[in-house]
Amino acid sequence: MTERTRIGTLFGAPGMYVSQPGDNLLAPTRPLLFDSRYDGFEIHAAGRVSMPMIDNTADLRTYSATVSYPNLGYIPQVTWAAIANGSSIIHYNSTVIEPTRGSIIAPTDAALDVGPSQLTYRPTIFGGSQVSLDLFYIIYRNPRVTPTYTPAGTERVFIGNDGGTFKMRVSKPGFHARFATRDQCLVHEESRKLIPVLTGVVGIPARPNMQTAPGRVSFYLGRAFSFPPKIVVTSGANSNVGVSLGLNDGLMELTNSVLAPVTARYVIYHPE
Amino acid sequence: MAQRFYAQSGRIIMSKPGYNAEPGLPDQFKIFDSEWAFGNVVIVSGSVSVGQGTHTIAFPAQHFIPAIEVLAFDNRNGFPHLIGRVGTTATNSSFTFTAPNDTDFVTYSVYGVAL
Repeated sequence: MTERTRIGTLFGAPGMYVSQPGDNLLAPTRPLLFDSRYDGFEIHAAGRVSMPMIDNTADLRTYSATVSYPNLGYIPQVTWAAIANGSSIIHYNSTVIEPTRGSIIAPTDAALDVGPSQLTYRPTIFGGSQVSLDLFYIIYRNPRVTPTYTPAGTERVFIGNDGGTFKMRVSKPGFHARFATRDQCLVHEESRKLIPVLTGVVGIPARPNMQTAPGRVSFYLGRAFSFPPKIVVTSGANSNVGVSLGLNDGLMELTNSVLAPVTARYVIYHPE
Repeated sequence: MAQRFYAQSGRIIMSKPGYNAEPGLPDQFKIFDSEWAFGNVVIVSGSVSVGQGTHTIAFPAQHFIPAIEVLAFDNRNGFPHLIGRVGTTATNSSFTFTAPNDTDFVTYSVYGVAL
Protein backbone atom coordinates (compact mmCIF):
# COMPACT_ATOMS: atom_id res chain seq x y z
CA MET A 1 0.00 0.00 0.00
CA THR A 2 1.42 3.37 -0.95
CA GLU A 3 1.77 6.27 1.47
CA ARG A 4 -0.64 9.00 0.46
CA THR A 5 -0.77 11.34 3.40
CA ARG A 6 1.98 12.93 5.46
CA ILE A 7 1.49 15.41 8.28
CA GLY A 8 5.03 16.33 9.17
CA THR A 9 8.18 17.02 7.22
CA LEU A 10 8.45 16.07 3.56
CA PHE A 11 10.38 17.62 0.68
CA GLY A 12 12.40 19.41 3.37
CA ALA A 13 9.45 21.41 4.70
CA PRO A 14 7.02 20.78 7.55
CA GLY A 15 3.33 20.74 6.61
CA MET A 16 0.66 18.50 5.13
CA TYR A 17 0.96 16.54 1.90
CA VAL A 18 -1.51 14.27 0.09
CA SER A 19 -0.88 12.47 -3.20
CA GLN A 20 -3.51 11.68 -5.81
CA PRO A 21 -5.40 8.39 -5.36
CA GLY A 22 -3.08 5.52 -6.28
CA ASP A 23 0.04 7.69 -6.40
CA ASN A 24 2.91 7.17 -3.96
CA LEU A 25 3.60 10.33 -1.97
CA LEU A 26 7.26 9.36 -1.57
CA ALA A 27 7.79 9.04 -5.33
CA PRO A 28 4.86 10.85 -6.93
CA THR A 29 4.30 10.66 -10.67
CA ARG A 30 1.39 13.11 -10.74
CA PRO A 31 0.82 16.53 -9.14
CA LEU A 32 -0.05 16.35 -5.46
CA LEU A 33 -3.65 16.65 -4.37
CA PHE A 34 -2.62 18.81 -1.44
CA ASP A 35 0.77 20.45 -0.99
CA SER A 36 1.19 22.89 1.89
CA ARG A 37 4.29 24.43 0.34
CA TYR A 38 1.98 26.19 -2.08
CA ASP A 39 -1.29 28.05 -2.31
CA GLY A 40 -4.79 27.00 -3.41
CA PHE A 41 -7.69 28.99 -4.79
CA GLU A 42 -10.09 30.35 -2.23
CA ILE A 43 -13.18 32.41 -3.08
CA HIS A 44 -13.59 35.93 -1.74
CA ALA A 45 -16.55 37.25 -3.75
CA ALA A 46 -18.50 36.34 -6.88
CA GLY A 47 -21.36 37.82 -8.84
CA ARG A 48 -22.94 38.94 -12.09
CA VAL A 49 -23.70 42.59 -12.83
CA SER A 50 -25.04 44.56 -15.75
CA MET A 51 -22.41 46.27 -17.93
CA PRO A 52 -24.11 49.32 -19.48
CA MET A 53 -22.91 51.27 -22.51
CA ILE A 54 -21.21 54.45 -21.27
CA ASP A 55 -20.10 55.95 -24.58
CA ASN A 56 -20.96 55.75 -28.28
CA THR A 57 -18.66 57.77 -30.51
CA ALA A 58 -18.25 57.16 -34.24
CA ASP A 59 -19.60 53.61 -33.92
CA LEU A 60 -17.20 52.82 -31.08
CA ARG A 61 -19.34 51.65 -28.19
CA THR A 62 -17.78 51.38 -24.73
CA TYR A 63 -19.38 49.31 -22.01
CA SER A 64 -18.27 49.39 -18.39
CA ALA A 65 -18.93 47.78 -15.04
CA THR A 66 -17.23 48.25 -11.68
CA VAL A 67 -17.78 45.84 -8.82
CA SER A 68 -16.70 46.38 -5.23
CA TYR A 69 -15.78 43.80 -2.60
CA PRO A 70 -14.37 43.89 0.93
CA ASN A 71 -10.82 45.25 0.83
CA LEU A 72 -8.24 42.48 0.67
CA GLY A 73 -5.19 44.69 1.07
CA TYR A 74 -3.63 43.23 -2.09
CA ILE A 75 -4.47 42.89 -5.78
CA PRO A 76 -6.26 39.54 -6.07
CA GLN A 77 -6.47 36.98 -8.83
CA VAL A 78 -9.79 37.00 -10.68
CA THR A 79 -11.86 35.05 -13.16
CA TRP A 80 -13.98 37.33 -15.29
CA ALA A 81 -15.94 37.28 -18.52
CA ALA A 82 -18.30 39.49 -20.48
CA ILE A 83 -21.45 37.71 -21.52
CA ALA A 84 -24.29 38.84 -23.76
CA ASN A 85 -27.74 38.72 -22.22
CA GLY A 86 -29.55 35.70 -23.60
CA SER A 87 -26.27 33.85 -24.07
CA SER A 88 -24.49 31.55 -21.66
CA ILE A 89 -21.19 31.25 -23.54
CA ILE A 90 -18.05 32.30 -21.68
CA HIS A 91 -14.65 32.82 -23.30
CA TYR A 92 -11.83 32.47 -20.79
CA ASN A 93 -8.86 34.85 -20.64
CA SER A 94 -10.17 36.55 -23.72
CA THR A 95 -12.12 39.65 -24.67
CA VAL A 96 -14.35 37.70 -27.10
CA ILE A 97 -18.14 37.77 -26.60
CA GLU A 98 -20.43 35.18 -28.23
CA PRO A 99 -24.09 36.33 -28.16
CA THR A 100 -25.23 33.20 -30.02
CA ARG A 101 -23.29 30.04 -30.86
CA GLY A 102 -20.84 30.83 -33.66
CA SER A 103 -21.54 34.58 -33.70
CA ILE A 104 -18.41 36.27 -32.42
CA ILE A 105 -17.88 39.84 -31.23
CA ALA A 106 -14.23 40.75 -30.82
CA PRO A 107 -13.85 44.04 -28.92
CA THR A 108 -11.22 46.40 -30.28
CA ASP A 109 -10.10 47.15 -26.76
CA ALA A 110 -10.71 45.89 -23.22
CA ALA A 111 -9.54 47.61 -20.05
CA LEU A 112 -9.28 45.37 -17.00
CA ASP A 113 -8.34 47.11 -13.78
CA VAL A 114 -8.19 45.01 -10.63
CA GLY A 115 -7.56 46.60 -7.24
CA PRO A 116 -7.71 45.44 -3.61
CA SER A 117 -11.40 46.37 -3.29
CA GLN A 118 -12.81 46.80 -6.80
CA LEU A 119 -12.65 45.53 -10.36
CA THR A 120 -13.49 47.48 -13.51
CA TYR A 121 -13.96 45.90 -16.93
CA ARG A 122 -14.46 48.16 -19.94
CA PRO A 123 -14.63 46.63 -23.43
CA THR A 124 -15.00 48.76 -26.56
CA ILE A 125 -16.78 47.31 -29.59
CA PHE A 126 -16.66 48.78 -33.09
CA GLY A 127 -19.68 48.64 -35.36
CA GLY A 128 -22.71 46.41 -35.20
CA SER A 129 -25.65 47.26 -33.03
CA GLN A 130 -25.78 47.94 -29.33
CA VAL A 131 -25.71 44.78 -27.24
CA SER A 132 -26.84 44.10 -23.70
CA LEU A 133 -23.88 42.84 -21.66
CA ASP A 134 -23.26 41.45 -18.21
CA LEU A 135 -20.01 40.95 -16.33
CA PHE A 136 -19.40 37.70 -14.47
CA TYR A 137 -16.65 37.80 -11.86
CA ILE A 138 -15.01 35.69 -9.18
CA ILE A 139 -12.53 37.33 -6.81
CA TYR A 140 -10.08 35.00 -5.07
CA ARG A 141 -8.34 35.39 -1.74
CA ASN A 142 -5.11 34.85 -3.62
CA PRO A 143 -2.69 37.68 -4.37
CA ARG A 144 -1.84 38.25 -8.03
CA VAL A 145 1.79 38.04 -6.89
CA THR A 146 2.46 35.13 -4.55
CA PRO A 147 4.25 36.30 -1.38
CA THR A 148 7.60 34.75 -0.59
CA TYR A 149 6.90 32.13 2.05
CA THR A 150 9.62 31.02 4.42
CA PRO A 151 9.20 27.47 5.71
CA ALA A 152 9.81 27.29 9.42
CA GLY A 153 9.47 24.72 12.17
CA THR A 154 6.20 26.19 13.36
CA GLU A 155 3.04 24.21 14.10
CA ARG A 156 1.55 23.94 10.60
CA VAL A 157 -1.47 21.71 11.27
CA PHE A 158 -3.99 22.15 14.06
CA ILE A 159 -7.38 20.44 14.31
CA GLY A 160 -9.27 20.69 17.56
CA ASN A 161 -10.43 22.92 20.38
CA ASP A 162 -8.18 25.87 21.12
CA GLY A 163 -9.32 27.60 24.30
CA GLY A 164 -12.98 27.01 23.52
CA THR A 165 -12.75 27.74 19.79
CA PHE A 166 -12.82 25.00 17.15
CA LYS A 167 -9.96 25.38 14.70
CA MET A 168 -9.20 23.26 11.63
CA ARG A 169 -6.14 24.68 9.95
CA VAL A 170 -3.20 23.97 7.74
CA SER A 171 -1.13 27.13 7.68
CA LYS A 172 1.01 28.46 4.87
CA PRO A 173 4.79 28.18 5.29
CA GLY A 174 6.10 30.30 8.14
CA PHE A 175 2.79 30.79 9.94
CA HIS A 176 1.72 29.15 13.19
CA ALA A 177 -1.55 27.32 12.46
CA ARG A 178 -3.36 28.22 15.65
CA PHE A 179 -2.64 31.94 15.40
CA ALA A 180 -2.79 32.36 11.61
CA THR A 181 -5.44 34.44 9.84
CA ARG A 182 -7.63 32.93 7.13
CA ASP A 183 -5.34 34.35 4.43
CA GLN A 184 -2.34 32.79 6.16
CA CYS A 185 -3.91 29.33 5.96
CA LEU A 186 -4.28 26.82 3.15
CA VAL A 187 -7.12 25.24 5.08
CA HIS A 188 -9.10 27.25 7.60
CA GLU A 189 -12.36 26.45 9.31
CA GLU A 190 -13.96 29.27 7.28
CA SER A 191 -12.42 28.24 3.93
CA ARG A 192 -14.43 28.49 0.69
CA LYS A 193 -12.19 26.47 -1.58
CA LEU A 194 -12.89 25.83 -5.23
CA ILE A 195 -14.24 22.31 -5.64
CA PRO A 196 -12.61 20.01 -8.24
CA VAL A 197 -15.49 18.72 -10.36
CA LEU A 198 -14.29 17.43 -13.75
CA THR A 199 -11.15 16.54 -15.62
CA GLY A 200 -10.43 14.94 -18.97
CA VAL A 201 -7.92 14.54 -21.78
CA VAL A 202 -8.76 15.39 -25.40
CA GLY A 203 -6.96 15.73 -28.72
CA ILE A 204 -7.12 19.07 -30.57
CA PRO A 205 -6.35 19.30 -34.29
CA ALA A 206 -3.48 21.45 -35.52
CA ARG A 207 -3.98 24.98 -36.72
CA PRO A 208 -3.63 24.60 -40.50
CA ASN A 209 -1.48 27.72 -40.86
CA MET A 210 -1.06 31.06 -39.14
CA GLN A 211 -3.50 32.74 -41.54
CA THR A 212 -6.40 30.48 -40.52
CA ALA A 213 -8.43 29.99 -37.37
CA PRO A 214 -6.99 27.72 -34.65
CA GLY A 215 -7.73 24.01 -34.63
CA ARG A 216 -10.71 23.22 -32.43
CA VAL A 217 -12.62 20.46 -30.71
CA SER A 218 -15.92 20.71 -28.87
CA PHE A 219 -17.73 18.28 -26.60
CA TYR A 220 -20.42 18.21 -23.92
CA LEU A 221 -19.36 17.95 -20.27
CA GLY A 222 -22.67 16.40 -19.27
CA ARG A 223 -23.66 19.09 -16.82
CA ALA A 224 -24.62 22.75 -16.69
CA PHE A 225 -23.06 25.44 -14.55
CA SER A 226 -24.82 28.10 -12.52
CA PHE A 227 -21.66 30.17 -12.53
CA PRO A 228 -18.51 30.24 -14.66
CA PRO A 229 -16.19 27.59 -13.24
CA LYS A 230 -12.45 28.04 -12.98
CA ILE A 231 -10.83 26.10 -15.83
CA VAL A 232 -7.15 25.24 -16.22
CA VAL A 233 -5.88 23.66 -19.43
CA THR A 234 -2.48 22.33 -20.33
CA SER A 235 -1.08 20.59 -23.35
CA GLY A 236 2.26 19.88 -21.72
CA ALA A 237 5.54 21.44 -22.73
CA ASN A 238 4.07 23.50 -25.57
CA SER A 239 0.78 25.03 -24.63
CA ASN A 240 -1.44 27.58 -26.33
CA VAL A 241 -4.99 26.38 -25.78
CA GLY A 242 -8.06 28.63 -25.63
CA VAL A 243 -11.27 27.71 -23.80
CA SER A 244 -14.93 28.59 -24.09
CA LEU A 245 -17.88 27.07 -22.24
CA GLY A 246 -21.65 27.21 -22.60
CA LEU A 247 -22.87 27.43 -19.03
CA ASN A 248 -26.40 26.23 -19.83
CA ASP A 249 -25.54 23.27 -22.06
CA GLY A 250 -22.04 22.37 -20.81
CA LEU A 251 -20.62 22.54 -24.35
CA MET A 252 -16.88 23.12 -24.06
CA GLU A 253 -14.66 24.17 -26.94
CA LEU A 254 -10.87 24.02 -26.88
CA THR A 255 -8.77 25.75 -29.52
CA ASN A 256 -5.18 25.07 -30.45
CA SER A 257 -3.06 27.90 -31.86
CA VAL A 258 0.03 25.88 -32.74
CA LEU A 259 0.72 24.22 -36.08
CA ALA A 260 0.67 20.67 -34.73
CA PRO A 261 -2.08 18.62 -33.10
CA VAL A 262 -1.91 18.54 -29.31
CA THR A 263 -3.29 16.48 -26.47
CA ALA A 264 -4.69 18.63 -23.69
CA ARG A 265 -5.88 18.08 -20.14
CA TYR A 266 -8.61 20.28 -18.72
CA VAL A 267 -9.53 20.54 -15.06
CA ILE A 268 -12.64 22.32 -13.86
CA TYR A 269 -13.25 23.79 -10.40
CA HIS A 270 -16.60 25.18 -9.41
CA PRO A 271 -17.43 27.69 -6.70
CA GLU A 272 -20.19 25.37 -5.49
CA MET B 1 -21.72 20.82 16.60
CA ALA B 2 -20.63 19.21 13.36
CA GLN B 3 -17.75 16.74 13.22
CA ARG B 4 -15.71 18.57 10.59
CA PHE B 5 -12.64 16.34 10.29
CA TYR B 6 -12.72 12.69 9.13
CA ALA B 7 -9.66 10.47 9.00
CA GLN B 8 -10.30 6.75 8.62
CA SER B 9 -9.17 3.95 6.33
CA GLY B 10 -6.59 6.18 4.69
CA ARG B 11 -9.10 8.87 3.79
CA ILE B 12 -9.17 12.48 4.97
CA ILE B 13 -12.21 14.73 4.62
CA MET B 14 -12.61 18.30 5.90
CA SER B 15 -16.08 19.81 5.75
CA LYS B 16 -17.54 23.30 5.66
CA PRO B 17 -19.17 24.76 8.78
CA GLY B 18 -22.35 22.93 9.79
CA TYR B 19 -21.66 19.69 7.90
CA ASN B 20 -20.34 16.40 9.24
CA ALA B 21 -17.23 15.23 7.43
CA GLU B 22 -18.11 11.74 6.19
CA PRO B 23 -17.66 9.76 2.96
CA GLY B 24 -21.26 10.36 1.82
CA LEU B 25 -21.05 14.15 2.09
CA PRO B 26 -21.59 15.88 -1.29
CA ASP B 27 -18.47 17.65 -2.60
CA GLN B 28 -19.94 21.15 -2.38
CA PHE B 29 -19.95 20.87 1.41
CA LYS B 30 -16.29 19.86 1.64
CA ILE B 31 -13.10 21.86 1.99
CA PHE B 32 -10.94 18.86 1.10
CA ASP B 33 -11.30 15.17 0.28
CA SER B 34 -8.29 12.93 -0.30
CA GLU B 35 -10.33 10.94 -2.86
CA TRP B 36 -10.71 13.91 -5.20
CA ALA B 37 -9.20 13.12 -8.58
CA PHE B 38 -7.11 16.29 -8.76
CA GLY B 39 -6.00 19.12 -6.55
CA ASN B 40 -6.26 22.87 -6.25
CA VAL B 41 -2.59 23.82 -6.06
CA VAL B 42 -1.17 27.13 -7.25
CA ILE B 43 2.59 26.74 -7.29
CA VAL B 44 3.24 30.42 -7.92
CA SER B 45 1.62 33.49 -9.45
CA GLY B 46 3.14 36.77 -10.44
CA SER B 47 3.09 39.96 -12.43
CA VAL B 48 6.19 41.24 -14.19
CA SER B 49 6.93 44.27 -16.34
CA VAL B 50 8.21 43.06 -19.69
CA GLY B 51 8.20 44.41 -23.22
CA GLN B 52 7.70 42.71 -26.56
CA GLY B 53 10.03 39.74 -26.96
CA THR B 54 10.91 36.36 -25.51
CA HIS B 55 11.16 35.93 -21.75
CA THR B 56 11.77 33.07 -19.34
CA ILE B 57 10.46 32.84 -15.78
CA ALA B 58 11.63 30.24 -13.26
CA PHE B 59 9.50 28.56 -10.61
CA PRO B 60 10.20 25.92 -7.93
CA ALA B 61 11.16 22.65 -9.63
CA GLN B 62 8.39 20.03 -9.82
CA HIS B 63 8.32 16.33 -10.70
CA PHE B 64 6.03 17.15 -13.67
CA ILE B 65 5.49 19.89 -16.26
CA PRO B 66 2.80 22.11 -14.76
CA ALA B 67 0.03 24.05 -16.45
CA ILE B 68 0.98 27.66 -17.17
CA GLU B 69 -1.32 30.61 -17.80
CA VAL B 70 0.12 33.90 -19.11
CA LEU B 71 -1.86 37.03 -19.96
CA ALA B 72 -0.33 40.09 -21.64
CA PHE B 73 -1.45 43.65 -20.92
CA ASP B 74 -0.58 47.14 -22.10
CA ASN B 75 -1.05 50.32 -20.08
CA ARG B 76 -3.05 53.07 -21.78
CA ASN B 77 -5.17 55.96 -20.55
CA GLY B 78 -4.48 55.02 -16.95
CA PHE B 79 -5.79 51.46 -17.31
CA PRO B 80 -4.28 48.07 -18.05
CA HIS B 81 -5.73 46.67 -21.29
CA LEU B 82 -5.82 42.96 -21.97
CA ILE B 83 -3.92 42.03 -25.13
CA GLY B 84 -4.61 38.33 -24.69
CA ARG B 85 -3.50 34.90 -23.67
CA VAL B 86 0.10 34.00 -24.52
CA GLY B 87 1.38 30.54 -25.48
CA THR B 88 4.18 29.01 -23.42
CA THR B 89 6.95 26.45 -23.64
CA ALA B 90 7.57 24.87 -20.26
CA THR B 91 9.93 22.57 -18.40
CA ASN B 92 9.50 21.34 -14.84
CA SER B 93 11.16 24.49 -13.47
CA SER B 94 10.63 27.36 -15.92
CA PHE B 95 8.51 28.59 -18.81
CA THR B 96 9.25 30.73 -21.84
CA PHE B 97 6.85 32.97 -23.71
CA THR B 98 6.93 35.59 -26.43
CA ALA B 99 5.19 38.81 -25.42
CA PRO B 100 3.29 40.43 -28.32
CA ASN B 101 3.63 44.01 -29.56
CA ASP B 102 2.77 46.74 -27.05
CA THR B 103 3.11 44.48 -24.00
CA ASP B 104 3.86 46.41 -20.82
CA PHE B 105 3.41 43.60 -18.32
CA VAL B 106 2.21 40.03 -18.00
CA THR B 107 0.48 38.14 -15.23
CA TYR B 108 1.15 34.44 -14.85
CA SER B 109 0.09 31.44 -12.81
CA VAL B 110 1.72 28.03 -12.50
CA TYR B 111 -0.76 25.33 -11.48
CA GLY B 112 -0.36 21.87 -9.99
CA VAL B 113 -1.97 20.33 -13.09
CA ALA B 114 -0.17 18.07 -15.54
CA LEU B 115 -1.04 16.53 -18.87
